[in-house]
Amino acid sequence: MDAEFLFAEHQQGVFRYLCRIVGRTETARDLTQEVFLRVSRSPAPEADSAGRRAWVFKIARNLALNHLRDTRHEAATVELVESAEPAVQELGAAIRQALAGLAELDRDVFLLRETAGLSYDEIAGACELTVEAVRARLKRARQELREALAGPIEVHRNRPVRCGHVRLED
Amino acid sequence: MSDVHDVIEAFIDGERVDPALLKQALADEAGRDLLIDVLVLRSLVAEQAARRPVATEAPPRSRVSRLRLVVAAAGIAGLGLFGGYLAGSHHPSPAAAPAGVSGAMAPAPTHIIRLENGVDWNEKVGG
Repeated sequence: MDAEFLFAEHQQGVFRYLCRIVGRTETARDLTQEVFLRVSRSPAPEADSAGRRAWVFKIARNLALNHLRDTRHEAATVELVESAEPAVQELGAAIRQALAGLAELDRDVFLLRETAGLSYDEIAGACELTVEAVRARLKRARQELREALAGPIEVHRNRPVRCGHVRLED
Repeated sequence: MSDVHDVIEAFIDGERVDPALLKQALADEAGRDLLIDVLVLRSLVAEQAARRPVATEAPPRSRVSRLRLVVAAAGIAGLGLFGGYLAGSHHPSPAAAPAGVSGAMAPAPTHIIRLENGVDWNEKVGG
């Protein structure tokens, strides 16, 4: 499996995840390029597709964490400009604030699940955690977000929602 | 994975779940509320992620502005030095030349003192 295939498969997920983590589209775009540059330069691990996916996201996560560490002092200058209605901007700000209130690793686990669609196994591989730890962190993150975003969740309860793919135990 | 929350979340996340446990979890009102809340939360986060912030790049202002200031100050200082050098080299003014500068014309003497042999030139007080 070559870098081109991994790029085609995971570029969007990596970009969405990085957007959420770093909060800046241009930075996320640059980091996404850097992720796949590294992917192309490194030998892909001998693993199944889930393992390689976890590997790609592990690289993305490490780059994002390094970036955040390097630019921590500039956090106050981040300006998120959205071309949307005030109510939508307000909701966006509330979500960002709620996400920012999570523990760093809990937030990573949550975003890898919700923005990149990684499975528990893949998140465990990307974050070097056990599946049980992933489950616990995801549960805690969701609980905290439910509390922090109780208002918006209540407002949106009557809207149609979609449940993703489901697998029942064989 | 016996907790109602764990079963519901695993179900929502596409992980394998025991149908009997799922049935039990969904029979619980808290389980149903959790199911709806997590799905709504997911849709909110997904919508926000899809609505990508535009032109969100905030340049590292402090570094850039400091760098610009230093470069501007260095440029101004360099221009000043170069301008001064040019002015000095193209418009030499002997009168304005500082003492000790080679090539400057000495003023004409107003008095000439001749040294004579045998005369003690040392001044003596009360002499």
